[in-house]
Amino acid sequence: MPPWLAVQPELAHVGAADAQAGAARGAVGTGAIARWVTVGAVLLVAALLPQLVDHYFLRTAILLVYSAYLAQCWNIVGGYAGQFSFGHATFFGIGAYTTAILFIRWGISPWIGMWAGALLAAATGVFLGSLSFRYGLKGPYFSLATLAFAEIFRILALNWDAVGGPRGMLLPLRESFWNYQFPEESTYYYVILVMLIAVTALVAWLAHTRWGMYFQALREDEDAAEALGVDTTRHKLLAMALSSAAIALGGTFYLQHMFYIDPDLAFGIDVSVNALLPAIVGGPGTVWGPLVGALVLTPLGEFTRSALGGYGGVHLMLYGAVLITVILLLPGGLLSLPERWRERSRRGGPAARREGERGAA
Amino acid sequence: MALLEVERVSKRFGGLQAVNGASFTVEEGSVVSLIGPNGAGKTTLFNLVSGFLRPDAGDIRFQGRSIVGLRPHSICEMGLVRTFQLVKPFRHLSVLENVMVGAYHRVRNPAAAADRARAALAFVGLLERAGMRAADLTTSEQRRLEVARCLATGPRLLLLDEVMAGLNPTEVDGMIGLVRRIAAAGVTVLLIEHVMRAVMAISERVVVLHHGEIIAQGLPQEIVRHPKVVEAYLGEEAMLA
Repeated sequence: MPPWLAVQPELAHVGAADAQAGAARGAVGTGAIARWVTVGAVLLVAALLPQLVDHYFLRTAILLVYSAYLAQCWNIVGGYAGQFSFGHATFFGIGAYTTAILFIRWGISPWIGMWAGALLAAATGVFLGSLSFRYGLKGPYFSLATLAFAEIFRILALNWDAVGGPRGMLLPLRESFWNYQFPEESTYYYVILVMLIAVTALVAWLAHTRWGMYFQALREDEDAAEALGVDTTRHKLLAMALSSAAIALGGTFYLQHMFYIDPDLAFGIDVSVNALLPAIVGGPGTVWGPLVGALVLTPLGEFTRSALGGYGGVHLMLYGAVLITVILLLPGGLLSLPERWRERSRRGGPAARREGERGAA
Repeated sequence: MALLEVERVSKRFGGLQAVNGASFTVEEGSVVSLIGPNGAGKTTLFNLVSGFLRPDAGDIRFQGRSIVGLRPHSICEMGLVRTFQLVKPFRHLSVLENVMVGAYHRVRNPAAAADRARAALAFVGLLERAGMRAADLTTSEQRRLEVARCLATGPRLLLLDEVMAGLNPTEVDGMIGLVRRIAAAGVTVLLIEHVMRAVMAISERVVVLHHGEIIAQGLPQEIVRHPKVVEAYLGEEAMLA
């Protein structure tokens, strides 16, 4: 026992406070039940969805779940650890390309290939991260470095004939579960849904572990975290490795769903933006932020695409506008809205303006 | 052997010699104050000791081992922890979570870390604030939070950088009491302080820094009458307050 803990009089009222906290927890208990009922209902609807909707809607649902998945992966390093990667396409692409090469060249099942891709992506993430962090790249400088790394990988893939160069790679059609190729669209839906649930559970769990707490501490104040014994470099790299490995699995999913990958689809800036946008719009560094963001952005994207389909890239301009608006006006994302309103009503005035700078670059 | 030995340490920033050949020691179980006019190099010295800066020359030993070149988290590992002059709370985390970050240094399990954090919060008198967001605390509370976080790491030597700054007289009294209780619990304390009332009340020894050099050290009563110290502080009313 450390010496200061031995000072008993101070600790006398710890028990009382715990009892209070327990009572408070009891009160929160009904809220928690309501939350789990909501989660259960959403899961049920999500599970039954393929039976309820037509093909177009199902494809949109896949897009939504997939987009939430990528954002949740980004959320680990970008939201929780506050390292604003603008180049997650690097790891996404590594996942897709590794799986494709292993399958096409050696017939290795994508179910195995995806883990090889994840490992390779994690290793690359650690390598690129250590390069950036060694030279003290922070904030926007780190973002720019990651953007450049993704571009390097895109150009490498473009000029590497063995992986098809600019033509990319087309998966040979060999439909079977073992080959991660399914006749039914709904199977793809279930695969990505399970992936999303898994990564969300991972994030929810992580947030309350030592690692998760260290990630958040170094995001909030690196010097203070370091002074309290947090090896900040090591934990940034850890977050990077987890996030990279997870998003690589998303790359494999994309490949298997589309049967095709090329340098732009794998390492293009769109991929990086798609990974960070829902998280930032929904609420970076929160468990549900990426899901809320995807829920808002995917329908928005679909709508603009169909309404303004003739003008290529309009949806991207819209995304840009949404991103700027959210970062400027709502740095905590949509999920910070209820808290803002609560704060405003509690203080009885528009005093809640000093809402934090979380996640904003 | 002293707990902390600072030996002829120097640090230069461009044309400014911030610390120049400073030597002093901190004995285990003592409370030592580092004082000096603004710009004397006190915080630089703290940054050197806690590993945030690397000295150009000289050696710093903690428990007999040189800690020059170690990163702050490794120095914390050895039992030397610091607070910051400008408080650095993890703003979006709760008060309890803030302290848990320190507590995780000694325990791995979240429940154990929370218990340890609550004990540290109780020690500084912030337990009722455990559930609040750190950003919503008052300045005085944030200073105590900094101390609680450090205590949760289980330090042998605690470096406090102006923990009294910006506090009203009642709060200063509270902080003096807290530092005394920390010392009574067996933690050695080295503090930078401007509030002379506090310096006189709690320190067993005082080290005076001026233009990066140590011009005097000794008992508090001797220091206030030391001619070099009086000269250094000439024109600064605060000294006699």
